[in-house]
This record gives sequence, C-alpha cells and structure tokens, in this order.
Amino acid sequence: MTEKERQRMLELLADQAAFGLNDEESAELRMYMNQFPEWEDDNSFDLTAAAIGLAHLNATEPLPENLHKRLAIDAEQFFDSTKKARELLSSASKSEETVGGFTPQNVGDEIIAETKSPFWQWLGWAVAAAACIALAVNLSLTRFQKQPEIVQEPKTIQTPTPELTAVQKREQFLASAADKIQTIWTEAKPKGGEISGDVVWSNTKQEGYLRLRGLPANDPNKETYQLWIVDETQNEKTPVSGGVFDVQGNGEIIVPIDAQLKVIKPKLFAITKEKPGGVVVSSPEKIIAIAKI
Amino acid sequence: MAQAILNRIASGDKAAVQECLDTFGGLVWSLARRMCPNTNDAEDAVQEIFIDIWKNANRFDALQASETTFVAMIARRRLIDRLRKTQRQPNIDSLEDVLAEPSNNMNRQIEISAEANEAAKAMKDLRPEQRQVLHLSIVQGFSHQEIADALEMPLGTVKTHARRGLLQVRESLGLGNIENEEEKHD
Repeated sequence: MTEKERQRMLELLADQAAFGLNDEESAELRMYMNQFPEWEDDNSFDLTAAAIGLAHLNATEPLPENLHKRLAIDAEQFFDSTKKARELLSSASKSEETVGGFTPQNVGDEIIAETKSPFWQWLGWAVAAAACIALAVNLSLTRFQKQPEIVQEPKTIQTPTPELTAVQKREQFLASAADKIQTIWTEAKPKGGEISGDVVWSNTKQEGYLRLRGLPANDPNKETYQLWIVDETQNEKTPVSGGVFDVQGNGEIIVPIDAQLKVIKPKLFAITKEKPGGVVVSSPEKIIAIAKI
Repeated sequence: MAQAILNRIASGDKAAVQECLDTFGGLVWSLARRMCPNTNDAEDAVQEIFIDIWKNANRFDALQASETTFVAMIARRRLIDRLRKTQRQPNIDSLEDVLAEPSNNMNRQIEISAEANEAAKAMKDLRPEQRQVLHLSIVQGFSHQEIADALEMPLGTVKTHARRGLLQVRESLGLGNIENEEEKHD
C-alpha cells in the first residue's frame, strides 16, 4: 500500500465514521478493501465515533415496554430463521454434490461466520445471501429425487407485472449500477437555497435519475423543464438533452433521465426552463440549476 | 469470567437475547431518540439496530472495545444510514453550548463505558473547531454539508477538522492498531 493510498483509506474510514459515505465514496472504499483485505475488519474509526457519542450521552431512557415486546418477537423470528438455515446447510453438507461450484457448507460459513467484506456492507446482503443458499440447497436436494414429477400439461398463468414507481426504479438502479456517479444540485442563481437534490448516472447502463426538491411548479401549457448533460467529449455549446419534465406539487420529484444521445463522460448536468416540448438548443441564461461532477 | 452477552448470542444462545435487550435496550433507545426526528422513527430504528446487533454478534472482539461501545457503534451505523435517507433539518447548537463540558455526567460516562470516558478526555485536547465539528456530526448527526453551511466553512475544511479530530481521539483510545502494524512493516 502506498502512502497516498493509506491516507485516502484513512480519510474514507474517518468520513464514514463521522458522516457516512455517499454511493461513490462507498464504492471507492470497497475498492480499497478488495485491494487491501487486511483493512476489512478495521472498526477503529467507528468505535472511536461511538465512544465520542457515548461520552455525550447525558442519560439513558428505559426501553418502552411495547418496543421491548416487539424486539422479543423479532429475536424469536431471527433465531428461528438462523436455526433453519443452519439445519439446511447441515443436511446439504451430507451430500457430496456441489451446487454451482460451491459446497453449501462453505458458502454458509461465509455468511454465518466471518466474511471478507466490511461488516457494515455485509449487513444488508446477509439475509439475501441466506435466501440464495436456501434456494441452492433446495435445488441440489430435489435433483436427486428418484421419481421426479412429470408435468403433462404445464399451465402458465401470466400475472401482470406492476409498473415500478420512479422511486423503486431509482432504488433498483442504485443497487445494480456498479459505475454509478452521483452529484448534488445547486441553484444557478442562488436565491436562498431553494433547489436541492441529486443526480445519479451510469455510463454503462446509460441510465440515471434526477431527484429534486424546491423546483417551482410549472404550467405545462406554457413551459416545461428540460435536462441537459454536458459531456466532456462534446462541444459545450451543444449539450445532450436528457428529456423534459413538469413539476406539479411542492414535494420531492424523481425523474428518469432520457438521454437523446449516448453519454460518454458527463461533467455537468443542467436544468433550464423551455417552451412546451423542449428545444433542440438552449442558452446559458435559462439555466436554473446545475450539478457538477 | 462470564461469557460476554454478544459471544453467547453468536453461539446461538437465545437466552442471551433477553439479557441483551435488558442490558443495551435503554442505550440503543436513547441513541435512537437523539438522532431520529420522532418516536415512531426511533422505534423503527431500534428494531433495525437490534437485528444488526444479532447478525454481527460474532464480530465482537472484547480485546478491542467493550460490548457497550460495540453496540453503540452498530447503532450509529444504522442511524447514520437512516439520517442520510431522510435528510433531516436539525437545529445547530451554538459554539458555547458545544464546548461546554458535560461536567455533571462524568460518573454516568464511566458507567457507560471506559472508552467513553477516555473519549471525553481526548476531546478536551482537540482544537475547538475540531471538537465543534465532531460534536455536530457525531453527537447531533449533521451531515458535512449542513455543518459547512451552518458554520460558513468550506466543505473540505469541515472534513479535515473531523478527520484530524477523529484520528487524535482514536490514537488516545489506542485503536489505531492496523496502521501501527503497517508502520512497523514499512
């Protein structure tokens, strides 16, 4: 590890402990953890922050009784599901067959015992991984049934797939886009910090989402908002249109980006107000908000 | 010596769960109340935190920190995640309030954990601006941008104060083991 890498690693760990990390920073930290696994179990900054927090805890309140009861139920369910997972793994390990290149016991060990991932990132994946293990074990067991069922007339029932909301699509995108970048909106001509939010974008997926608060509602019959993407590889005077959208209420809006051309290296996102339907070319004076990479 | 509660939970001892709730329930609840906008949110957070505690019980290392500090660490991680999602708009304490010593609470701090006591001492040795940033971020849960806006300080400066302050307190607590080992091998 070079000195520069070590300093950056310490910065990220300290920032994580003090403020938490955004998606980009988390990805950077994961990259370092993969490169330098000896740092994976380093909790020192988090423990330090916890100790500081405890030092300023003036008093502790007793846990409310109803909450105590709910936690007891949660515990029962948690330990029951963990026990079932262990039993599944134990029965699968008696079979010498492997599934998908892994022995179920080894994969179970990775989940139940120590992992190679930083534990704060392992948290959210443990349950999903356990479910995958249960599925893999089930598949391996059913492969060896001596009298498999033969389905004479398979019936396919098509159920309509509900359309995901913009929030759900954005969350799905955040979970799946490995190369996503994120930046925050600022007002082009500050009037007191009304506009806020962020942009997330993936070059690989050519997909992204705006999330905005404080953008005034517009009359779609008179005007519309238009997103522009300034690409480093293209002329600044002809940014790529990211689509048009309208704002109706006062709350947070999430808008999928509809890039008209392929975006190679975005360096800035901008929002202008245009005539209904949008325009092919805008002007800098119309910029309402910008988000720099 | 009695086995730590978290070690017993890690080995599947269900009876240890009740003890865990009795021992750490108040602490986790108090931390959640401090960093959540309302009681309902705090209750949801506490449920999530305890599941995190049970999942991570096997990672507790008594040689590194006390159970109380470990539990507080897990609670903090979850509460920070929730804060980042809700983007709460809290109030800022004045610098005077932040720098005021919690003089009546030293006994309680000792009871809470030895690390907390040491951290309190180490915080006194920090520069005022480092102490203020750490207080706003760790104790009150503000983001670095909120702190920068509130204190009219560049974002980079806020991060630098936090990083240096944390490094110094971490060193006082003797927690920088990996780095020290790396220095020996360099």
